[in-house]
Amino acid sequence: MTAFAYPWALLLYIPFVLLVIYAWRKPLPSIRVSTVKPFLAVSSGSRPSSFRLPFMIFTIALALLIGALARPREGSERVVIKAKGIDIMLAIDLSGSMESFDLPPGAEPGQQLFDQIKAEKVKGRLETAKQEISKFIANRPNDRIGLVGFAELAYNICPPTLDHAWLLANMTRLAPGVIGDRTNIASPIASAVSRLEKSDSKRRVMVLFTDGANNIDDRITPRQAAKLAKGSDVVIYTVGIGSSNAYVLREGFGGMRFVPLRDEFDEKLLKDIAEYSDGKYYKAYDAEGLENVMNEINRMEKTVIEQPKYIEYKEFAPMLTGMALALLLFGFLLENTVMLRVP
Amino acid sequence: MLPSELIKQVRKIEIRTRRVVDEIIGGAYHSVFKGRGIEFDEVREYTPEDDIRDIDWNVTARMGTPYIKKYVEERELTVMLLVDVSASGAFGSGDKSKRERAVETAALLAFSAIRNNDKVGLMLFTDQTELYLPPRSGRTRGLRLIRELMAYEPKRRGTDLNAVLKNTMQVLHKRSVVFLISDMIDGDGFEKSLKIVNRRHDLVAVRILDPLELRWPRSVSVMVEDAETGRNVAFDGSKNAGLEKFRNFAAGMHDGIKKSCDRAKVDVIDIRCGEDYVKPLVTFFSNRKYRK
Repeated sequence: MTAFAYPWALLLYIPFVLLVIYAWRKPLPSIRVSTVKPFLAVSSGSRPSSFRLPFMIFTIALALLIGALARPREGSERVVIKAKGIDIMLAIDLSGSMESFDLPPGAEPGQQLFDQIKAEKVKGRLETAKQEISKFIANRPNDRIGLVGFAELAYNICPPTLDHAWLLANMTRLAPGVIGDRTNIASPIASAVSRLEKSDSKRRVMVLFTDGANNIDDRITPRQAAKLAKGSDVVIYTVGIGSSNAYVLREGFGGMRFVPLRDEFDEKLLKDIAEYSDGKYYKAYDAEGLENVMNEINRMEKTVIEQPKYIEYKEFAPMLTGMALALLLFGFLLENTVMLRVP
Repeated sequence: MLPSELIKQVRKIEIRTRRVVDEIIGGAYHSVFKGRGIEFDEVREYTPEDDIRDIDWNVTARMGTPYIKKYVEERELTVMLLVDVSASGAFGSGDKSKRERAVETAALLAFSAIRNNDKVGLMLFTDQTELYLPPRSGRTRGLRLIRELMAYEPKRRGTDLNAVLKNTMQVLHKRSVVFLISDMIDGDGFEKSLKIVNRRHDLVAVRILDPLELRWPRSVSVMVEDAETGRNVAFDGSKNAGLEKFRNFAAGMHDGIKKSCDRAKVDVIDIRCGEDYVKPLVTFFSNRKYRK
């Protein structure tokens, strides 16, 4: 984006234009002769080219100088020094139910939904989550973000990192059901906490996305894990994904068909986890809901440090000034050599 | 110009013109403009230059060699100086402008007239009559005339020869010698006025020209402004074609003026700025002496 540091300097163009008009109209210094008739026999112009060309050159040069005064510059608003952010672990449910589709309340699945899925207008829960998480990541360039996928087990996909490109690349690879169909909520919490424990960041946050109830007995319960998190200063936001009107595409007799999903997340457990770790619980029925949730988490986890923002500017003023000076010199030389005029 | 400076200048001009008058012009002037009455002065021996008609046969018979009667003109001529003080006089390529040259010429003529005990009048004009001093004789009149010539600030810029010539006819009834001192750049159409004045008076046009007006030197581009109309023109003085055109036009213009004077039978004295101004006058008067 190109802008001026001192745009008000451009106001000088108003008197400048008036000055140019005045200078153009002003009679040139002339030798007084008794009669101009013999001169008129040769030429009739009162503005010779020896006046016009240097005049134009000087006008352009001055216009450039005024432009330079306003300091035009191109700024890439890039923060040069990375401010120290917070650490965030994202835990994403990869259980089989994450491939189901949430429909608006009362909507029936049918051929229309099938077409929409084909056209990628309606996405499964995981795809929706990925999309919203990507946006979230893009909004937090200074935070170290890590990723844990979980189903029956927790699978550490990426430790907290600033290399968000790598993070996103890894996230897109995730697919539902690759590490089992059931849901173990304690394991990802423990895993994320152990990751965040070692972090030297001021604030450690974990966001847990799930659409199912804890249906695996691990060595610790999810509530114990939440308390563990509290002990390590990790705040857990829990996000329950899915509505009651959800369907899964199943291959059956004679092609694909929609099967209603009965499985629902354990709201009580998610609330408890959030409460134990001073976090917050959110419910996201569909893509829009998830987007709101992500925005809210983003807002709540505002990086409070006043970070100096450095904008890299490309200044054009020196170039313009150089051009103007070159033109002035050129005009001056022209006026005093080739286009010499008296008086 | 300060008054004291002015007076000094006036004296200088007087001295200079008086010297010139005494040495050169005096005699010529004397014999060219013959007064109306002729008064017998003396008889002297005939020389081949003299007019045979003037031979006094009585004296010749007595002396045995031819003698002629010498006459002295009855003076009391009236000399009227019409001096152009329009803005066009401001130009001058040498150390003197056309106006200054005109003033000098006028002063010279005025002192010549005063030395001969003639009456001198002055009319300064632009496109109207700016100042009129009726003809009088005497040295004080001469000095007054010079003062006006040098210090007068014209009110207008243009030139109108018709107007001044017409005015001359109105104020000057007695037959006079009228000098029109001007650059005569006034378009055309004053020929008739010249004729009218010349019929009654002895009109002599003293044309003040600057060499640059006739032949512009090779130069860079110049801006010129018409002193009278204020019109600006750019002139490229580096091209031969342009200079040639200029020269032709200027020559044509000045020749045209000369021709209208000739047609009106008005004598023209050309005085160039930067050149001697006495010589053309002397040549003119001596030529006139032999013409008759």
